[in-house]
Amino acid sequence: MRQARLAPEGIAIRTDETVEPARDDLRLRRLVDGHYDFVWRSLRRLGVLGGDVDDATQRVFLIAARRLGDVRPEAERSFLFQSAVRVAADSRRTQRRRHEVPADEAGDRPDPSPNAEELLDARQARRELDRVLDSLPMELRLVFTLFELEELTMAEIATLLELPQGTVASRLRRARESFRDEVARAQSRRKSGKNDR
Amino acid sequence: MSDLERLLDTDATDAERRLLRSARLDAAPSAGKAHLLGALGLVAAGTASAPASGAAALFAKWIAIGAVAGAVTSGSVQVVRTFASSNDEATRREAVTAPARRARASSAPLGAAPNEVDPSGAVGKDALALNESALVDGDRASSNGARAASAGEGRPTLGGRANARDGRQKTVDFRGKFGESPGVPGAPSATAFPDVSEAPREPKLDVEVRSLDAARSALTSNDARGALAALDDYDRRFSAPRLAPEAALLRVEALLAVGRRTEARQVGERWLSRDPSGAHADRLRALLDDASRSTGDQSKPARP
Repeated sequence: MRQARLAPEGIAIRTDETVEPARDDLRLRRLVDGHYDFVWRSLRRLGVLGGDVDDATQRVFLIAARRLGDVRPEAERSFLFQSAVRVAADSRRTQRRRHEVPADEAGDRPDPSPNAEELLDARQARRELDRVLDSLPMELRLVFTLFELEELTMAEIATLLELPQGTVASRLRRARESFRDEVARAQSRRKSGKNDR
Repeated sequence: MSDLERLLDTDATDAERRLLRSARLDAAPSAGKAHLLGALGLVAAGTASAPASGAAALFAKWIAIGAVAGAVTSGSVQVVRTFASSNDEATRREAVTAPARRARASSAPLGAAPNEVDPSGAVGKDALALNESALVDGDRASSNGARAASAGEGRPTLGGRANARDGRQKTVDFRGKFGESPGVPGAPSATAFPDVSEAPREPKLDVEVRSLDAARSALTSNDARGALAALDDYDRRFSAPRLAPEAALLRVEALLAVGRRTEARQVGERWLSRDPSGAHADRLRALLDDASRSTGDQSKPARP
């Protein structure tokens, strides 16, 4: 970086636009820009509900900010995801203590007509998905959501979870079986419920 | 190892498909990100499409100026906080373009430059319609959020440092409070920011930065007159400038460069009397001292 001819000494005016704030701030900013959405979605899919998702996402990044120096650049996403897993567990415990009724997403989003009906059904389905995912053991839920919903590759998941790929594959198979069983059970419950009416 | 195919791409039943597709509703409202950036003491949202360049780099420059000089606190914190309110449009742009960036990116290496490929944005193509409605909503929330993030900021003039220091202190406390353990409860709520959505809009700080940058560029190209013209323009455009100390410093340098020493001294001393320990006070004093000692070529600016 060149120093501007007239730049006062000690004042970081440069002739180009490469002046950088403290390196950690830049890294943190990149971390947020690059992974905020991923962390948010992950927390949501790990069972954090409603307005708690934003708060939980903040907590993940505050932890990352605090421990940035300990995180290898290539392990950032893995660190964030693993923090998210722990924050999600904590958040779900709090939700249970509050006996919280999940915020109805239909209530806080504008009417997206002309697809209102479609969206309403999607929201209903999303709540059903929560119930099905809740029935999976966490180790299976992690792999399932990352593969089927986040659409990561198995190699990416292995990196993220620091597991051998074989383990990821076997968990994914088990997770998928459990998911399919649970969806079928929910469907038959729904059908029998209708028949009972 | 070859991947299994995803259920949605293979033999999922209708019921499974319906549930799996519903996960496409999971989209983060951008307001949360703006709050987070505020909580971390980083520039809030808005430049996500090119955070390491353009406006962000311009900001970095002026943040750095503030940071080095003593009244640091005012420089960095206020620039950071006020920027939050100035970036609604940029945030909107981000929200609108987000679906495009969500294109399947599983082939992107982990840790790839986040703004070239969104390594996390693995939402299928047909998810876009659903996501868009969520994003529009998030966008609206973001406007409020971004405004809220600038809550309680005093006007960042030389005299406004006390406010800024308070803000800085809050940020530091914030970081300190949430510790190593992910399980620490009580993370700051996004709603902790006061709602000032009715507050009047400030002129955009990035516009102010660019305007001042024109003056600086002229000065570094030995075009002191051009710099003075740019500074006059800056004074006309911004009635309550947030970068007034930087503007004053540049004006003194430019005036010295064209040999208008008396005026340079007047401007410099006026600032020094208003805030003797301000952002660029030492630098101003050095310039004025040099100028008064100098008996040489007046066409050259004073050097420290």
